[in-house]
Amino acid sequence: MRFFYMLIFSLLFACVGQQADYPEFLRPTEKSSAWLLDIKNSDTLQFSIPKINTWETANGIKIHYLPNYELPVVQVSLIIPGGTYLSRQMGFGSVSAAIGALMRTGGAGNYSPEEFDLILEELAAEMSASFAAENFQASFSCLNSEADQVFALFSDMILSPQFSERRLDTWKIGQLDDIHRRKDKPSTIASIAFQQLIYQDTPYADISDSKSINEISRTDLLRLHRRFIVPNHAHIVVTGAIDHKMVNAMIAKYFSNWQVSLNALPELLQPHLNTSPGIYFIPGNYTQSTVYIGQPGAKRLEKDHYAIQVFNEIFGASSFTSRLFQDVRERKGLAYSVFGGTLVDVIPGRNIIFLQSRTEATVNAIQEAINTFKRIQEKPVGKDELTQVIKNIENSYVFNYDDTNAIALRKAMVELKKYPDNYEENYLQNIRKVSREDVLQVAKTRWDLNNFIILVVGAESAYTQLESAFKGIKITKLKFNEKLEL
Amino acid sequence: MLTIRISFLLILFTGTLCFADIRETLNKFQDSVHYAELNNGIKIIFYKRSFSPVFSANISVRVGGVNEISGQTGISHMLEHMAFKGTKTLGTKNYLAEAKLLARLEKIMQEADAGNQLSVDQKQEVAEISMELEKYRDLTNTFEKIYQELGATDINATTSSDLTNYFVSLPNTAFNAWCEIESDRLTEPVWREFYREREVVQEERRMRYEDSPDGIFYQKMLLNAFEVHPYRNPTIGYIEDLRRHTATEIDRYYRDFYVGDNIVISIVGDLEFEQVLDKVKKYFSRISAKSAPERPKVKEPEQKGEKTFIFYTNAAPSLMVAYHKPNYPNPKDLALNVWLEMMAGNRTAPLYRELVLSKKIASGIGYFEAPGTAYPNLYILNATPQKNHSNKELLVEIDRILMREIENGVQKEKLQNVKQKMMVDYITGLQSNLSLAQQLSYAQQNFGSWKLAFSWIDEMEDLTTDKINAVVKEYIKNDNRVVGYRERSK
Repeated sequence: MRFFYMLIFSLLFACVGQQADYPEFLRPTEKSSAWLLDIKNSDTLQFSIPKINTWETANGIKIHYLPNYELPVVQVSLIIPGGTYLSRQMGFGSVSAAIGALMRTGGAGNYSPEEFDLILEELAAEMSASFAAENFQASFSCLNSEADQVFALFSDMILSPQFSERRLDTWKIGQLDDIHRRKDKPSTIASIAFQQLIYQDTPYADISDSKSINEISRTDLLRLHRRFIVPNHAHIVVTGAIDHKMVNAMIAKYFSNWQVSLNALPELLQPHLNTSPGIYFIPGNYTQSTVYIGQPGAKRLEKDHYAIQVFNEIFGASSFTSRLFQDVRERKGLAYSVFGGTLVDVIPGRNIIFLQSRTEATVNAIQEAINTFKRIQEKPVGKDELTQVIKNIENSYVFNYDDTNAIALRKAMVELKKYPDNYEENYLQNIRKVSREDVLQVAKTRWDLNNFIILVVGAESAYTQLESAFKGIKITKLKFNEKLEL
Repeated sequence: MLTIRISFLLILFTGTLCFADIRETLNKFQDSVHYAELNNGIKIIFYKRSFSPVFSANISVRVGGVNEISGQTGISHMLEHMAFKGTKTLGTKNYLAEAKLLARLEKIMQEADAGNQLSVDQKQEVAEISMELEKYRDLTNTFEKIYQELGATDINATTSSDLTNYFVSLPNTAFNAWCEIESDRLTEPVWREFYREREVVQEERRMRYEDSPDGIFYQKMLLNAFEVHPYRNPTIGYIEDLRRHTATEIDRYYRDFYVGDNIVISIVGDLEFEQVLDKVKKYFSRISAKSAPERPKVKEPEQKGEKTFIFYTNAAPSLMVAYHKPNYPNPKDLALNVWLEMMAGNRTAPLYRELVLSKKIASGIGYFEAPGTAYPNLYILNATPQKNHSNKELLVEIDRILMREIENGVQKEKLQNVKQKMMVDYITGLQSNLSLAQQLSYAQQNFGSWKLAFSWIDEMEDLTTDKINAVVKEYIKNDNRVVGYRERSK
């Protein structure tokens, strides 16, 4: 039967060029490709950034307000400068990992932890708090009819968290379990290990482990709270179905007595990084290798800030169209997940290439990715290539402003992170100025092939391949328990 | 406690008002949705939202894992990947020349068992054809590049057991372009780079399953829960099947299922319905009006006793308990959903409160619906034991708590809270254009009407403690469940 089928099929292809013999997808089309030119000439969207109502309270909190009455919900966020980077620098260790969760779950105001959980559920409100790298952020969302009650609970959480010992114990147990499960996923192992290899023994590679988690005390939480959770330079973002008068009233009622701290936070110190380039390997029982290639990167808002954005889109950040995606995945079929770029940060960020490829293709995939990088470092990008990416950034910029809450949060973040005045208004203008030479300079000056770290989490046979392909280069085997044992 | 009691009474009162607010909001949404059908069966659903000059579009095709026959698993998902490879005019410099090469390539692959038994000569020929094909690939005019230039975000697609979705968000000035691109994709796709993409999908499979203890555990749960129904198979397919797909098979599958009757287009954003309808009619009317194959009429036999399996792997233990249930719009589904939300959906739910907060034997517990929603399916409770506790111990405690709750019955106050929370979560999710577009097409495809995206709220309001208690007794029992233990290999 199979032979018969093959015979029929081969007869179908015997008369190449005759329409009737082609399976449908191989038959010619009568459609011209002129339509492609037409759509490329689509009008460019002209839009203006929505105006946000902003004012400052007597105790220095900046309020950003943008109403939207389509749905009967209200969203509020509080952002305070000073995050995990600074708290670790100041010796708080893993406490910043705990404080957000314990503010939310450890009871607040006159409510025990259980009462606080219950009342939020009864009000159908969501509330959370956490420390990010550079700031503290807390937020809630609820029906507008409950806004006043939920705002009261929110202020309790911010101003008077109880940090219940019981809940701290529960949190610790959960964290220890998460740490214990880190080794279950190669991508988790790789992400943590790469962080440690880049940032070494600085606070920026200070990954929590069972010791640091167990050491956290209620006193530590109170100390961190007193030091960091202050109205100095704080921003509150309010959006949704709520009017200006009510916003003013609630802020006054719940946050006007919040005392400014006279004890300013120190400046964030810039790390002195002493990364050791080379190939590193963490063995495991996997069918794929998880690979990070990279090195310390650039800081935010340096003179090539906009060129870096464009470089990233061309090289590896733009998921379907980037060079990495096209070369490693589309052309060679070597990976499903592949991306890369220069991640800027308030401290030196990271240059990253990430991919996951089947074990037997580990070396091919790494070499393909490095070759992709070499091409962008050796020759300027194409004129059309640059034009397309800049057009994409221009035409997609509107999506930073398609959601009320996102718009107002973005404004707050831009100010908090000390972006220049009118950063958003001037962003596209600055992007348009980026030239092919600028992009080439990013590749040449920000990336250094001789100083790459290549980290592979994979099967033992991948190690053998690496040894054979990179003869003469030391491959260091690493041990990963809760984190890298360096 | 007195404070809590008083606050509850206030909440009960305001809760009633909240339902009214939510109902009013959803009525406004419903009244503002436009619906139309083309002659070829395509359904169009549109909601205008003019906050920002953008729109999101979701094209849903009623095909997924459930339509696949044995030996062909993963073909719906493979087709979804291939739909990004361009068309007869998009992504090619010379389609005629390309087609001849693709024909030669396909012939070789068919002869050599989908390319798995290539001789040395055949490998050589395939390599030469592939190099030739590169010359005709127009990388400046690919699907993604054009969308990128237009300012697209959210470009992606998903395949589930029941449906395949293609979605994108664009500035509203690009609506015409969207119509051109998507209608071209649905009428003249070309399965170029098929055999390379087959490798990519296998990488995806490795990432999600072979190297993911959670993924393999879930796959085993489905195999144990469903003995005959195609819901037992992973949507991504088994690797053995993935290695055997051919471009010809994909083409046949595409022509069977990507027909007007199977397609729903939903658009949310700053456009006008008349303009949308006009353009969609112009571009999408040429899609085939052929009838799509009916969904398989497979009935999973009733499970008549508890099933258990143990999966050993190099990962920390985990527990899954799956209960068979009817799917929405059977009202029993909503009753069970609400009950499980009460049991495990939040911090005050008994399973979370007792197992995580109080006894500290679980580090987490939750539930989810699986694997699809077009047929009777499962609710799965998923829990992870703390380091010095076992799955068995966890199951004993879960059973104890659930039996107690079933015996005590649902409390009115708790029911009120959960209903309100679920509704508020739902309407908060409607803020996103894309999410709303997907909700509308999902309801239309799976339940026969987009209105069910909103009307389930009425059913929610009507749900009583008695109704829930009766349904829970019917379905939450050992005879109706599959218990999966994931244990660390010795």
